[in-house]
Amino acid sequence: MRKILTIAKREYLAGVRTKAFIISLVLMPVMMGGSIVLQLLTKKLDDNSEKTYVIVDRTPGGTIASALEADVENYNTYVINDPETGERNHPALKLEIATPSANTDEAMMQQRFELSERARKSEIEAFLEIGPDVFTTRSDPNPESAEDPQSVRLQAKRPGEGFIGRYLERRINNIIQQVRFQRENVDPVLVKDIQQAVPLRAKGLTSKNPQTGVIEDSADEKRMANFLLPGVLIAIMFVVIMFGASPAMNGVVEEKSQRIAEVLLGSVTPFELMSGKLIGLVGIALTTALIYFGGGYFVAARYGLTDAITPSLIFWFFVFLTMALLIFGSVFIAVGAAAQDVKDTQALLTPVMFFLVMPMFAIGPILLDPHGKLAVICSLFPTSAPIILVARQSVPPGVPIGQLLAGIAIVLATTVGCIWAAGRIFRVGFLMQGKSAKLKDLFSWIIKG
Amino acid sequence: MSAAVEIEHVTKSFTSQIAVDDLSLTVPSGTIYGFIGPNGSGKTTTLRMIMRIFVPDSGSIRVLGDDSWHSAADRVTYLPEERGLYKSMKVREVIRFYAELKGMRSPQKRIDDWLERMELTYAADRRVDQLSKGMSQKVQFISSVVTDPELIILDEPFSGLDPVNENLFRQAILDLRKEGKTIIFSTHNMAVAEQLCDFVFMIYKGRKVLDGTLDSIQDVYGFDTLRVRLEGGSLGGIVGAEKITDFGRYQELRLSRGADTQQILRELMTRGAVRQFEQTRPTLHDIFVRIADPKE
Repeated sequence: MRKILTIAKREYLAGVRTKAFIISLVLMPVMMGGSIVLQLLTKKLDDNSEKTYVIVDRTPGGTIASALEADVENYNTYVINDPETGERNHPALKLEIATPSANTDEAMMQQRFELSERARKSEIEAFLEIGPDVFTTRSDPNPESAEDPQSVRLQAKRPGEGFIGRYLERRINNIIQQVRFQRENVDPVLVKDIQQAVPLRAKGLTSKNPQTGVIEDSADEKRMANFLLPGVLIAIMFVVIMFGASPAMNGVVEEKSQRIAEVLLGSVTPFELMSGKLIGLVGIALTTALIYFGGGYFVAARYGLTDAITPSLIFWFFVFLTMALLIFGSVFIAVGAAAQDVKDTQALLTPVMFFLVMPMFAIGPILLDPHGKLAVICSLFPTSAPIILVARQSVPPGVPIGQLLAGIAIVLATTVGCIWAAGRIFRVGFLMQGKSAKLKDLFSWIIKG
Repeated sequence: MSAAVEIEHVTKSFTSQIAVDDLSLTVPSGTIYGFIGPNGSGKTTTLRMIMRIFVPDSGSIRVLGDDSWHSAADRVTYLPEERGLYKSMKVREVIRFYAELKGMRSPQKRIDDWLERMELTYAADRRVDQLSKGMSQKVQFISSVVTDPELIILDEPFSGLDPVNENLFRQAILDLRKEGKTIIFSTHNMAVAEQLCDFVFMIYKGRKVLDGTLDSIQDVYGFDTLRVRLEGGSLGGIVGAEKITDFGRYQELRLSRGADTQQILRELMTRGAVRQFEQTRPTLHDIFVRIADPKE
C-alpha cells in the first residue's frame, strides 16, 4: 500500500505543478468573476449621452408626435436613471418633431434622404416616420404584412432598435391603443384589469413531516435554479474528468516512451502502479473540482441560488465524481499504456470520448425534464449514470431512492469492471514497444490477460 | 558461494519468436557477471525476467533465494539501457522517489552520499531535462544503488560515457562488489567485460553459447592467435593462417588447426622486419565475433 501511495503522491504533485493545472486555477476565478467584472466594465463603456431622434408623424393632426414630446421629460427623469443611485443607465433622449412632407412618393423619399444625410453627419441618431394609417387595425394581424402607411419606420446609420427604439415602439403602441380604445368607447383601465395575467406557481409535492406529522406545503420551485444548477454540475464534472484523466494518460505515454516503465515495474506490480496513478489522478481532479465548485458556489451566492446547493447534493456530487473519475481514469490510463505516442491515443480514445460526451447529447431534454424517461434511462446507463444522477439529484425532489440505489450499483460495478479491464490492458500494453495497439488488441488483452 | 540468481530451463517467446530458449544459468553472490550478446539475442529479455517484469513461459527463476517476486523485489534494482527518468522532476526528487518505491523511508543521507560519490552534488536541484546524457546516467545509476540492494542489474551502464565518467562508474561497480553486492551487467564493450567481470555469459539467438570465467572461456579456444607487427612486408598468403585481421599498428592471425608457428615466423622474417611476434589466446571481442558472425 505504501508503494501505491508513493506513486499516487508523485502523480499528484506532478499534476498540480503543471502549467495546465495552474492555468486552470487562475482561469477559474477569472471565468467566475470575469462575467461580473465584464458586466460592470461594459456598463461603463455604454454610450449614455443624449441622442436626437426626429419624429415625422404623418397621422392626422400629428397627435402621436405631440404625445411623445410630452413624455420626453418623464423618460429623461425616471426611465433612464437608477432610482437608488440616480446614475444614468441608458441614453437620454431629445425629440425633434419634423413637419411631414407631402404624401407623395417623391416628397417622402426626398424627406427620408435629407434626414438620412443628417444622420450620416451624426447630427441626429435616427428618425421615425409614423404612417398615416396606424390607428386603423389591419385585417391581417401578421406584422410582416403591414404596408408603410400602417407601420412606424425607424431609420438610422446603425439600424437596430436600441433602448430608445424599444421605448419609443412601446410608447407609440400605447398611444395608438389609447386612441383606438377612445374610438370604440372602451375604458382602457377596464381592459387592463380584464387582461391581468394569472401567475403559474410551480411547486414540488406536499409532504408530511415524519417527526411532527404535520402536512407541510412545498416551497416554490426556482425554475432558473432547476435549469441552471444541473447544467453547471454536468459541465463541472465533464471538465474535471477531462482535466484529471488526460494528463494521466499522457503521463503513461511518456513513461512508456522514456522507458520509465521498466524501472517502475522493477519495483512495483502493474496493478500497484495503475492503482497509484489512479489515486493520484482522482486527487488532482478532486482538487480541481473543489476549486471549481467553490467558484460555482460564489456565483450561485451572488444570484441567490445557494438554497439549492444542499450538503446532500455536495456529498453526492463528490461521490459520483470520484466514481466517474475511477471509471474514465482507469480507461484513459489503459489507453495510455496501449498507445505508442500521444497521436496514437486519439484513435483509441474516440469510443471512450463517445461515452464521456454522451450525457452532453441528452443534456437539453434532461435539463427541461430532469425526471423524465430519457433522464431515467441515462441514469441507469453505466458511463452516463454518475453525471446524470448528480444533475437530477440537484432538482427537487431528487432521484427516487430505488433509481439512486440502482444507479449506484451500476456505477460501482462499472468502476470495478473498468479498473479490472484497464489493469489487464495496462499490464500487457505498458511494456509493449514499437507496435500501435488496435481496439481489438485491447479486447484480446482483457480476455487473455 | 551461494547463488544470487538461479535460472533453470527458462524459455520465453513473443508471438512466434523465441527470445530465450531453454536457458540455465547460475550467478554466484558477490560477483560481477557480464551478459554479452548481439542486439536482439535475448539479453534484455533475460534481465527483465530476472526482474520479474516478464514471466517465463516455462522453467524457473530464483532471485536471492526466492521464487516469489515480492519477497526479493526491494533487494534488487535495475538500470535500464534507455534511461528511465521523469524529465520534469529534480535530481534529488527523482532519486528519492525511486528509493521510496523500494521501501526506503529516509533516503536523504544516502542520496547525498551517492551524489557526492558520483560528483553530482552541484546538480542536485536541477531538473532532469537540464542534464547531459552522462549526468542523467549518473542519476539513474544512483537511483539503482541508493537503496543498498543485494543484486544490481545494469543494462549497458557504460554506453555514452566519456572516459572520466567510465572510470567513475567502473570504480563504483568494483566498490559495490567489495561491499558484497552481486552485479549483473550487459554490455557491448568487450574490453570492459574483460576488465570487470568475474564471469561472462554470452547469449546468441536466445541460447547460451558461453558461460564461465574469462580464462575458462579462452581456454576453450586455446592459443590459436598470433599477434604480429611486420615492417616492410605483407602477410598475404601465409600458410597456416585462417584469417588475418589488421588492427593498424599490429595484425592478428588466427591459426588453422596444426599450424606450425615456427614455420610462420621463418616465413615472416623473409618478408620483412618482425617487430612483434606473440602467440596468445583470442580476446573476448574475437570470440564474440567468431560466434556472432560465423563467416568471419
